[in-house]
Amino acid sequence: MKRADGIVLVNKHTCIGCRYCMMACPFKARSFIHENETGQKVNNPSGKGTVEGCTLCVDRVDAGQRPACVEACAKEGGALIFGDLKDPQSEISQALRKLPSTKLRADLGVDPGVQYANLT
Amino acid sequence: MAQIKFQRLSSASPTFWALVLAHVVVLAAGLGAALYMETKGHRVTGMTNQIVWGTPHVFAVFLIVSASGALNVASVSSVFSRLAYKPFARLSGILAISLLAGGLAVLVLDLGRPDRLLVAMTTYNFHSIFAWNIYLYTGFMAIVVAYLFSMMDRQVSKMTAVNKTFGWAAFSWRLILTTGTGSIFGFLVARDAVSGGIMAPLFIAASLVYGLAFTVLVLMMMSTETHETLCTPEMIAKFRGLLIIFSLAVLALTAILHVSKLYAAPTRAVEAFILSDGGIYPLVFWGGQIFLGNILPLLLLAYMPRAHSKRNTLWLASILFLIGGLAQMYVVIIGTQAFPLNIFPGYEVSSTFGDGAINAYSPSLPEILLGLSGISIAMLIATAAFRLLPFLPHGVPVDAHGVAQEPEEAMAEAGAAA
Repeated sequence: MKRADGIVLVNKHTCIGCRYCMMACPFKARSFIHENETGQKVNNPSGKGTVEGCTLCVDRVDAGQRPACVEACAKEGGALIFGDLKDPQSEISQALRKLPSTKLRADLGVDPGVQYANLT
Repeated sequence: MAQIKFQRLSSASPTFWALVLAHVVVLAAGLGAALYMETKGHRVTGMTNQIVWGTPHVFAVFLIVSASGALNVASVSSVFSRLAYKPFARLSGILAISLLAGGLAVLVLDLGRPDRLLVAMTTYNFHSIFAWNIYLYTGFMAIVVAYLFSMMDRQVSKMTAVNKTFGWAAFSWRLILTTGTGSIFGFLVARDAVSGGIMAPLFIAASLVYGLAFTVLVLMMMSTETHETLCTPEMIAKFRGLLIIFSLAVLALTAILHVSKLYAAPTRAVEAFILSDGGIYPLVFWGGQIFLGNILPLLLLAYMPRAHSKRNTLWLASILFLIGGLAQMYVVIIGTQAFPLNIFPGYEVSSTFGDGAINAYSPSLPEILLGLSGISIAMLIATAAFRLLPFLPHGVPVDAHGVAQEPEEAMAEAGAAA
C-alpha cells in the first residue's frame, strides 16, 4: 500500500506470504520472514510467513524525525538525504538539482522515490 | 448408431489399492511437510530471499497448467464436434478439476500464512496478475462443474445447445486461464528470462501437451482397472497425432522465446546462463525439457512400432512429456530467479544481499514432498470421483477395425456397472 506521502508499505495484516511481490519487484526491496524472530521492534514487528520491506522508518517520519539510517549516516559524513521531493525548497530537492542522479531500473519508468548520485 | 454407456470404477484389484495407498502415503507426507514448514518457517526449505519460489511452485504451476490442458478431450468433443472423443469427455472434465485442485493445494500449503486464505479471497488487488489468477482458477472450477452437469444430467444432457454452450464457455475460460498463468511470468518485467507476451501462448501449448499426457495415462490406467479397451486403436492414433502437434508447438514457441532473447543485447546474458553457462539449468533445459521431454517422445511417436506395442509407446511418450513439463517449469521458475536481477543497468553491482551474484538453490525434502503430494491429491480426487459417479465410458463402441462409431446424442448409463 502507498501512503499519501509516497512511502510504500506492506500491509502485514493481509499479506498471505505468496511472495509474488518479491518475484515482481525490480528493486529486490522485499524480504520474506523465514522464521520466528525475537527482540522485535515495537514500531515495526516482523511476522513469520509474511513479506516486509524498508518502511523508511514511518514511525520516526510521522514524529517529524529522519529515518534511522539517515540519522546514523549523518554522523559519518552524511551520504544519505531524506526529505520531501515535492517541496522544491527541501534539502533533497536542492541536492538533486545540483547533482546528476539516477534511479534503480530507471528504464522501467516506475519512478521509485530513492535516487542515487555519484555512481561509479 | 451406437450408444455411449458410462460406468463407475468398481475395481478392487491389489494394484489399484496399492496405488491408492501409495498416493495416501505421499499425501500424508506432503501434509506433514506443509505443517513442518508452517511451524518452523520457510527456513527449513531451500527457498531464500533470492529464490523465493521453489520446488512446490514447480509442481503447482505444472499441475495448474496440466489442468487446463486436461480439458482438451472434452473441448474437442463439444466445441469441435468430434464425436469420437465424446465417451472420454466426462473423464477429461473431472481430471481437469482434480489436477487444478492438486496444484492449488500445493500453492496454498506453501503460503507463508495459509491460515489467511480467506483474507486472500476477500481482499482484492486487481493490480496483480497473480491475484487475477485466483478468480480464473475458481471460475474454471465452477464452469467445468457446470459443464460436467450438462453432460451427465439425464435431462440436460439431451439439450445439445446447453452442452455446447458450456463446452464453449469452458474452452474459452481455459484459454484465458492459461494465458493468465503464463502471464504470471510474462508480466515480470524485471526478470529478463521470462518477461514478454510469448509466455502466454507458450503456456497454452505446454498445457495441451501435459493435459493430454495426463489424460492418456489415466485412461490407460482405467482400461486396466475396468478390463476394457477404453483407449481404442483409433483413439491411440488420434492422441498420437495431437501430442505430436502440441509438442512441436511447444518446441517452436520455446525456440522463438530463446532466439528473440538471444537477439536482444540486454537479454543475452540471461540466455547464456539458461542455455550454456548456468550449471544445472542448461542441463535441465537441454537434457530434461528438450531431449527427454520433447525430442525423445516425438521420435517414439513418429516411429511407433507394431500395432500391439502402440499402447506402450503412447504410455511411455506421455510419461516423458510430463517429465519434460516438470523440467520446463523448473527452468522457467527457478532458473529465472537464479540469474541476478539487473537492478542498475550499465553498472556492475555487488553487495551482501546477493546483488550481481548467481543465486544458489537446493530443493529440500519438505518442498519435494509437498510438490509430489499435489499429484497425489489430484489422483485421489479423480479416483474418488470415478468410484462415486459414472465418469468412465463402458463398452466404447468400435467397429471391426477398432474405429469408434458415431455415438447417439442421448447417452445411457450402464446400470449393471454403475
